[in-house]
Amino acid sequence: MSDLFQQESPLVQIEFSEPKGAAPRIEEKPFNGYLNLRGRSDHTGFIAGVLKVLGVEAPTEANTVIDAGDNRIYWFGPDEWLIVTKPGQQTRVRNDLLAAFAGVFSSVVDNSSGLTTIHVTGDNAAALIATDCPLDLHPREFKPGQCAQTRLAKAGMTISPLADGSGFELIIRRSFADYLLLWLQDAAIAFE
Amino acid sequence: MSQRFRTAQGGRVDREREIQFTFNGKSYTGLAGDTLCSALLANGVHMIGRSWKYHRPRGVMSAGSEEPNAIFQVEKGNRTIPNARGTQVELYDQLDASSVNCWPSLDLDLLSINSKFSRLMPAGFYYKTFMWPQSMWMKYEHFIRKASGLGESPRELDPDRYEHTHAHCDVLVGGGGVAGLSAALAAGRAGARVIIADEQSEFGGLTLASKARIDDGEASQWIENAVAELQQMPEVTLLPRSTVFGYHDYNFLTINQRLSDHLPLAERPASREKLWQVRAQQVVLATGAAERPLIFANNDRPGIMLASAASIYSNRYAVQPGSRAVVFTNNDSAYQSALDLKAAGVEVEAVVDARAGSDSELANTVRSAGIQVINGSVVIDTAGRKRLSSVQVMRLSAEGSSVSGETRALSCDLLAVSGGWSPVVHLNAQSGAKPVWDEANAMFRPGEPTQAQFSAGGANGTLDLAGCLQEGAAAGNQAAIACGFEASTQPARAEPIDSQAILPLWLLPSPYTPGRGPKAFVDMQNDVGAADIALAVREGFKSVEHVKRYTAMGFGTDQGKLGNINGMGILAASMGQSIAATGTTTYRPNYTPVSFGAFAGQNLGDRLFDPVRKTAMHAWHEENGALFEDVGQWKRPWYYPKDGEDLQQAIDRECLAVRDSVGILDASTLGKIEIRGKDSARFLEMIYTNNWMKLEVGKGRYGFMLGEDGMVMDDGVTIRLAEDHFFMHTTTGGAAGVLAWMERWLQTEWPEMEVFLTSVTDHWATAAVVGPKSRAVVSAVCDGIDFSAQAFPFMASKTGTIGDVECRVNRISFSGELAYEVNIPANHGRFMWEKLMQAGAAFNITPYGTETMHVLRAEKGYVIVGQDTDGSVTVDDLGLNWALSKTKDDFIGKRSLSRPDTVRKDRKQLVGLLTEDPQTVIPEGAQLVDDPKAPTPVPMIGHVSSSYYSACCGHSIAMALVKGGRDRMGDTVYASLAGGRVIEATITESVFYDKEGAKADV
Amino acid sequence: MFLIECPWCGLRDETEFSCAGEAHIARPLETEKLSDEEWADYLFMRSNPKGAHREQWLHAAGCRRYFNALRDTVTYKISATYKIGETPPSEGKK
Ligand SMILES: [Zn+2]
Repeated sequence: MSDLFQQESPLVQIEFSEPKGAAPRIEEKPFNGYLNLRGRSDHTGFIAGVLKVLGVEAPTEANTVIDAGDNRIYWFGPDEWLIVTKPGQQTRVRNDLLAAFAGVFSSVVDNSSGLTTIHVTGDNAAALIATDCPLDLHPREFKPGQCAQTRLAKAGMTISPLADGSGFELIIRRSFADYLLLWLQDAAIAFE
Repeated sequence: MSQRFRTAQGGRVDREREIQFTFNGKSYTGLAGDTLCSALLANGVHMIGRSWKYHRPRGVMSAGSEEPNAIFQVEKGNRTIPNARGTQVELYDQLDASSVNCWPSLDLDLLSINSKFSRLMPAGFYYKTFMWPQSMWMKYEHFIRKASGLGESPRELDPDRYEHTHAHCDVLVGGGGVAGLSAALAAGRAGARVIIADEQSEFGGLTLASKARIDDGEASQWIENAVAELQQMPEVTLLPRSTVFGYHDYNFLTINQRLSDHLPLAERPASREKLWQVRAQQVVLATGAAERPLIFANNDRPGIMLASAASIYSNRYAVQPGSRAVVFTNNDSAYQSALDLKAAGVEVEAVVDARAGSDSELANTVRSAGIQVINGSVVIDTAGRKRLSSVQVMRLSAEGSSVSGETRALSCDLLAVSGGWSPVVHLNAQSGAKPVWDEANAMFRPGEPTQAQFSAGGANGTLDLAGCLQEGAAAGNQAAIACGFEASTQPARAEPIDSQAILPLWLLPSPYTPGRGPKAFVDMQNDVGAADIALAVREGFKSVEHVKRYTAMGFGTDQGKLGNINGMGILAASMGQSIAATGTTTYRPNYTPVSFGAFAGQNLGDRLFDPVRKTAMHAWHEENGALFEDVGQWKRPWYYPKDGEDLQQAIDRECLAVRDSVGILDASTLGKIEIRGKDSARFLEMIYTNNWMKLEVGKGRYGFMLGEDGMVMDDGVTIRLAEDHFFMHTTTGGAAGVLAWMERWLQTEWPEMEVFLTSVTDHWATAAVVGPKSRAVVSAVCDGIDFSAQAFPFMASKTGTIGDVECRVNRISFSGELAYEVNIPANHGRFMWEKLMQAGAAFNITPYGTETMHVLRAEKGYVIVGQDTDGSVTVDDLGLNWALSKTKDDFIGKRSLSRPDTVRKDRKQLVGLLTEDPQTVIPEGAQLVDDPKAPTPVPMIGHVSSSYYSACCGHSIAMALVKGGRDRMGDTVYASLAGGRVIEATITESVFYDKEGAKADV
Repeated sequence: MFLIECPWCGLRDETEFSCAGEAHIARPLETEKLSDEEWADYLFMRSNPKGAHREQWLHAAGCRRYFNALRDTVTYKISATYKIGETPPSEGKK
């Protein structure tokens, strides 16, 4: 290996291939920025800080995700959010937030290398994930704009339906990513 | 045409498709649509196996999942299935089946001698035999294993896949007979999400074998239409060959779907079974009712089967289950079987009805058909060796308690028996309800639901077709309405049937002296007879649960589906009480056996059984020959053997390289938590045992966390990044637990504290660069940091860059050497690692793994939480009292440190051990004693927690927890090993190398 | 397999949660002033009732919030869940 590359996805050891038969497509959207945001959602300074930097208020409805320009904000808990930025934007957004929160009880932590995003798309996307995810993924119950932290197989994930209805976005932890992709690819054999 | 007993027409078999199969090595022909049992019967094969204990010849008893006798070994080699119920095995080309329980063959079974001595093997025989003397067990075991086994489990790797899925629905319908189909139609038409599962290959249940009419057409046509309509509904899922085998809390049900067992081996898809884990809003149980036999002497000969089974074989499978039949019943339904048999061309000798008279429309139809009805009589015994040849009939007294008069022999090769019907209440009972005894109809009905559930049709004790259709539709409507839908499906219509009351009979009266006559079997699979139950009662067993365990009734692969109810009736009679008072045994999942593969699913093997967590440098480690060790779910490099090196040689080389020059360790797996907020330091004061308020920004400190019981829970270095901002390291295995632990205190006990915690374990890749040359290596790689000893002292933390990427370097040492931990966002982890390797090349930088890390820290006496501690060790036990604050009023676990138990003088304390022979390494975990020659039990004084050969020290070193150890320096102790081996060692302090700490202070 | 209503996330499968034992056990203040018996009572003694039991759960795979549940130890029915700091429903009163 040369020293030319500077960054690597956690899925560097995974081979992605074209889906066979009716198996869903599984692909990575690497190198997004991920910021863990903590704050009290009833604190005016906190609300104002988020609004100033991201142009929207952090969602307070549980299990929802909103678009904020180039960024997306996922509800993670009553005082916790995940901000997903375009690749390379995380440091700027973090610094802007830290500046906006001066004196406000809050936390902005860069976790960009700790997470990665997977898209599972195709007719059997929900069925593939349902192999071992206890969440009800039926479109009556789980629509674009909703998100959920739950589990997939024996690891955690954040899942949300893609806006175009083609499938799901999964945000998974780096150290579990290789396991989860091998697991998903193995589960997909059932649809080939 | 070899199928001599195939009827000329009718049935749901495909006469165009002949299927070859093998039974006990002999070739036979059946038809598509057959089960293994129907095909065997079509060929006149009635004796299909021998019983478990007495090796008596046995035949097909039923046509469903309650079958106790017709269990087979299906296929050989890696796809073999033990104990498959032949009544549910669909015939396919080249199917290979053999009997279980026969040795050496079905016809010549040497163990059938057990049958001759059956009186010597009563209930509890095995218990009594093995109680005493214990030594005899070895002698019996060989014989028992051979005699009592059922099928053989596969010995080869299973080639098939097993799938899992979670599913959610509004209405789950368990059972796809007419009641279930009606329910699914009603709920489906209302728009509900419906799953309907049935264990058979075709939906329709018992009605598939019925000539009745529904909605002015044939019942089979109605079934076909219903299935077609359901298939058109996008929110309805039909699962044939799928058994709802478990009903758990909160309407969580498990279904096993068999995907390929019905196909010839060569045509099977990759997946064999699919386990459905269903969460249902509402459940409709339409599992039907099962006929039960009557209990009389020699009631187990081949040729004796349930009356309903006789109908099913005649009507559905187009098979004559005998040539000359007697029907024996205590209720009306068996009269239909007499008609069905006659229509199939079987000569029906008589209907023997225990009831004094029978005057229903059905009974009169039988009489009009010219079939003799013998009322007020019962079968008291049977004859025939490998096949029934005749039955003996006597008059039943008016009150039903005795028999009298002439014995009348009726010649027959088929006895179709009906003792009445039992609703299949298993799932209702599994769900938490208590089945209710219905005295008038002699059946347990489903109990009051404890979950959102309806029972309909046979499962609800409703036995007529019209009632099943009506209840099914009503349950489907109600279930859909309960889910918020509008539902108003009208039930399909069928002719009501008038019927006459059942005469409940459990153990039939007999002319034989009690306990002396031929056996009357209650549980055929486990060879439990009526007399065994009576014996259990005489020996003092009163509870149905105890009688079950003593006699083994209901313990077979069939779980007593056929016989348990009769057993309870006999038990109640033996104790002179009602069945209601006697109660049932507990109905537990699984309804029918489920393969291990179905439970395991795809979660198999090194990669998928449990998560494999990898660091950013994992591929590099693999490419460079690392062997890996599991640390929690992480794969960590264990050591990097070079050509021909064994573990010890590699460790020796790695250790010396670190001590002499520089080594590099992947430390990314340590837990990392950011702590932020103005109360962070105050929070750490409570979480850790030492002081944090005055820690300088840019400096780190080592701390212990205790449980509230005062025992060491975790340890690590926490760095102050700003006044209100800390960066905590936890142990690799403790990371998730420590985060949850700290969140718990913040959320539940100290919500007023302004502290936020965020896990960043996965964000950072960490390389520990360790050894005298480490400063030169990190200086060459990290820009923007002054690494001089003065500018960057021990326990300091600084940020810089590698390339364009920001990194954080902590001067921390777990080896006693000059050392730096370099952290970079993990996407750049391999980039950082390769930079460090390049810079270290000049110093022969040596990658090392967890084994060398362990040796290096043990040489310095550093403990590993979880290895040198086990949840019962305090900081004082470790001799590390300097880490306990003397000034703090409180911290978690502090109060426990003054409990009587934690201040005991004889607590185990951490010490070092040096072996007498420097080359001998004591095994970790070895128990220590003062005097290995002392009489047993030898008092244990402690155990070895860490032990290695240290190349740097030139001898083996060990750490041990020894009672009062710190006061015993210089004492000799002995590690007492298996096989009588003893290793002598001397107690020392636990620091073995560089006791002054000079090496890190450079 | 329970279906547990996280007060934040709603109904979720039991496998997303972990149970943290009996709820409403406040950590004593001024622990050094407690007798060994008082400390042991806090440390070890739990009510273990047959019937309604107030217990703490963590939505571990979800929002990572602790909350309280009123669960019947005989029927396993969870009659209520409520946030930390909220008053337990009356059945839980002993
Ligand atoms: Zn939650």
